[in-house]
Amino acid sequence: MSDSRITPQTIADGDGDASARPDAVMSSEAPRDEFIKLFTKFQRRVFLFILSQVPNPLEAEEIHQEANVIIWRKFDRFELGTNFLAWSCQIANYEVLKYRERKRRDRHLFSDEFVRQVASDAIEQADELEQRRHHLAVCLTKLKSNDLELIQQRYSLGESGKSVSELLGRPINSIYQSLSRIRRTLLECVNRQIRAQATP
Amino acid sequence: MTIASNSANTTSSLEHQELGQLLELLCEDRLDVHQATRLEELVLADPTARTLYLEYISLHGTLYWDAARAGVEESEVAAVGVVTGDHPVTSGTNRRVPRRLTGLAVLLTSAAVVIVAVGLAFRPGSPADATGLAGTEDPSGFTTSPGPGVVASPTAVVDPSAQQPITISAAPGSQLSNRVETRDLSPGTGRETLADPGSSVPKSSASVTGSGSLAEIVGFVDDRLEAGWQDNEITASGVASDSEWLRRVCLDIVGHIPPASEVLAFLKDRRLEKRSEMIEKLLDDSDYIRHSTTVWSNLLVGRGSRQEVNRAAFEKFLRESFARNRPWNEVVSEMVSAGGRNDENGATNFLLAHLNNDATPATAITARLFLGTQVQCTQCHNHPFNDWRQEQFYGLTAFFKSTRSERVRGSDAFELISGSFDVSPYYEDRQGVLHMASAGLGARKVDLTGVEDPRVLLAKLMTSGEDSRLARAMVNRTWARLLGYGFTSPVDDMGPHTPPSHPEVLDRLAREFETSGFDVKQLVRWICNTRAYGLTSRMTDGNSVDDPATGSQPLFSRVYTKPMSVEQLYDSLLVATWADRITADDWESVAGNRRRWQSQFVHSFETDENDEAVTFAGTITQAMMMMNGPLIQDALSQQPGSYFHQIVHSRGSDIDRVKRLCLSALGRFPTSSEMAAIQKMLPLRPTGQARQTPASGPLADGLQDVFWAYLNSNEFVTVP
Repeated sequence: MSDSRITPQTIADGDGDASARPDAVMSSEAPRDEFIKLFTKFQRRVFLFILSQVPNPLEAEEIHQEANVIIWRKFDRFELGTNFLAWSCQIANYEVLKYRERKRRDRHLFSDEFVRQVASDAIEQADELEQRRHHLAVCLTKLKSNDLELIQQRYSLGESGKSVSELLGRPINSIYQSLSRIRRTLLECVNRQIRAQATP
Repeated sequence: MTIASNSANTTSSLEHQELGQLLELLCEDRLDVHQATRLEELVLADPTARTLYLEYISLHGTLYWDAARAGVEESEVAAVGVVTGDHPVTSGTNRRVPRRLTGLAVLLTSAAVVIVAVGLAFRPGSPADATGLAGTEDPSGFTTSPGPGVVASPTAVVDPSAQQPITISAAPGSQLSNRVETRDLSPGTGRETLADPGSSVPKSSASVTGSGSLAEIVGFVDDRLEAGWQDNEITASGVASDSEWLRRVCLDIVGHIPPASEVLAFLKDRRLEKRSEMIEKLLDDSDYIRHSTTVWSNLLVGRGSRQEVNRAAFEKFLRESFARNRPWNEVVSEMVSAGGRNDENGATNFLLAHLNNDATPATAITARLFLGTQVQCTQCHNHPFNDWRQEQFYGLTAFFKSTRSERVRGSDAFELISGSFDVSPYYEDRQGVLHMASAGLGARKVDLTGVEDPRVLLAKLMTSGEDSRLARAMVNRTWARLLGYGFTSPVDDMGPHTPPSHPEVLDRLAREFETSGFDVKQLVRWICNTRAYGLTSRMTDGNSVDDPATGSQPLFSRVYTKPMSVEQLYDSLLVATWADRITADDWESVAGNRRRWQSQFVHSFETDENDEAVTFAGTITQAMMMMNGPLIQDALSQQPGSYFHQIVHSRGSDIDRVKRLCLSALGRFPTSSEMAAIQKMLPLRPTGQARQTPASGPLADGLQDVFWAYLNSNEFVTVP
């Protein structure tokens, strides 16, 4: 597993600018631009990291926004050239804990142990998971147009299977079944792509 | 799990199948507690299960994150309309809405028109050119033209009827939550079509009780108000949309608008109990304490500064009182009888603020705030309409006569010192005859001779429950703060000449409040759970006579809109824009920024009387501050840390960006006509491109304009 751990080199390839010294951060625009680039680049991965622990996208997004605020505030404490994702995930992790603490009284979906385990796995497998995204893009293009439309509707802002069913006037269970089928198709498609790549 | 040892292969595939089903449920947010436990079990037991979990979540999350959103077409707007109610602001339908806006609304409206007209013309560095706004600068167009096109967007944003929160009752089937509510209407309530989540829920979850249960009290209030509607042959407005209600309850209880994420979660929640649960959540929020402290310190010592008043110490006293939810009679008693240094005993600051001029202001404000009685005029003559006589004014003053303030040597602090009672006050009547007043509260006379500290006695008389006015005054004020009008107007003039609009409701609530041990949170809880509080503020043809702004008695067949207070506005701006997070690195400087900004603002609104009529109703200062102030500039700047920056750099289509800006500012999605206008105005990009690249150039400028317009709309500064 440790082979797959993201290294500073993999993160910073192409981004590592030797002139960007941390102590020069506030006085120069370049490091800030650099930071913005990294920030933008890793937005989705930080989000996915959070989502693995708080599986509701809306809640995850809320936490993500909180984390982003902190990430920005600590911008001058980040050393360019080090692992931005790991650094961000650390912050995100803390925000997840804070969030769970705050929601302690509400219905709690997962145990602390589960969240800890999943978070550490998510970091370890970050690279593989990132790979899957590119394959997913390919797999999406292979979907039947009906299926693609349905999955797009399902995932547009604020939608859920339930509201899609109301929108389309289709029974809720049939929507759930379709969505389930499409997601599994996508998952298998991605797995196939990965296997194909692994054995050229 | 027992099978696992027998044949690992089959089991694992079986378990993966089960896991797959559970993961599907998870994606659709349908997982119940047992299933969640099972999912955990499976995932923790096996690393491959963990990988599957992560792969699934990653698929789900990635689809959510950047699955193509069908883009910009009407279908998406329509889908959004499901949540907001499709309210075509610029189409002809809004003309049906009775234009009998309250005076307040008119004031706000004209202010907003000024804001927009002036703002578009003078906003420094306005990127209007880039977005095509400048092409059609017809001043009249901003206010009157309902037509589509470039002008329509600013118009849509500030149109007076847009200020009227969107109602759902008029559009059957256009409102998801409406449908849910209707479907979930519990049988046998005897209520017609619209079940009010606010009032029907507590009946089943009446766990929080005073003497009467929550359900009982709320039910009583609901019945009485409804009887009043029938007597007056009016129909109440429909239930407020979730957006409207959430914005209202947040502003009322915690003093600021809900953040966009909170709105989304609330809209998404389809459960009937969500409103009463939200009330509980807000009452538990630390901002409830902060907001209550702000409201009451403004009432008790005013926003201005007097050298005798140590505001920080006073606010600390209030904060602790509200944090512990101390009984109101106890808090009042402590303030009326307080003594000592103003930095050590925060409660002394209330009287220290009003001791000047022979304690006349202290008498007046004590009567007004705690007893709901206006006695100022009886300082000079008997009240023309009621039995408050000059003698009674001085009878009350007598308690304060021997109290004085002194500066503590070698310090900035002041001390509130009580002397024992020496001599009764004299007063001159209008015929020039001198009288001696005997001390007393209302009809109750007391002999103060030899009394060590008369104020302790007064506190006891006022708060022991013998005089019901303390409870009635608090109920009336709280009711007015939440519903927009009290049972009497003015809210603190409850004398015999102003009979309350709903005496039996006032009586009952006052009695319950007293029996609950003057529980302030409980009072808020009762009122917020009433059916009336859950109604939209929008007037209909069926209740256009219910308009207290014209002087008639309120019937509470809708919620009356209120202007935001200065503090509500400031805090809401921060919630919507994160402007405070841009420059500040730490929370101390965040707090410092807030104080500085607020102080320049408050200065413009300060009055000597702590008059609560003075709020925020569209003054020029407000307008200029909103349009051009540094806070707004910060809020709209694309500096990292701001909400705007976040939106510009977010993934998602440009339409999403617009939606999120509207959601953050107004707690709702854009109406389809707003959206149509914005689409015409802004150079929106294809979805694919928009998801990959942050907004920049003319588009970012245009988004900035949209956000600015939303923040400067009268809808923003109104508590719906």
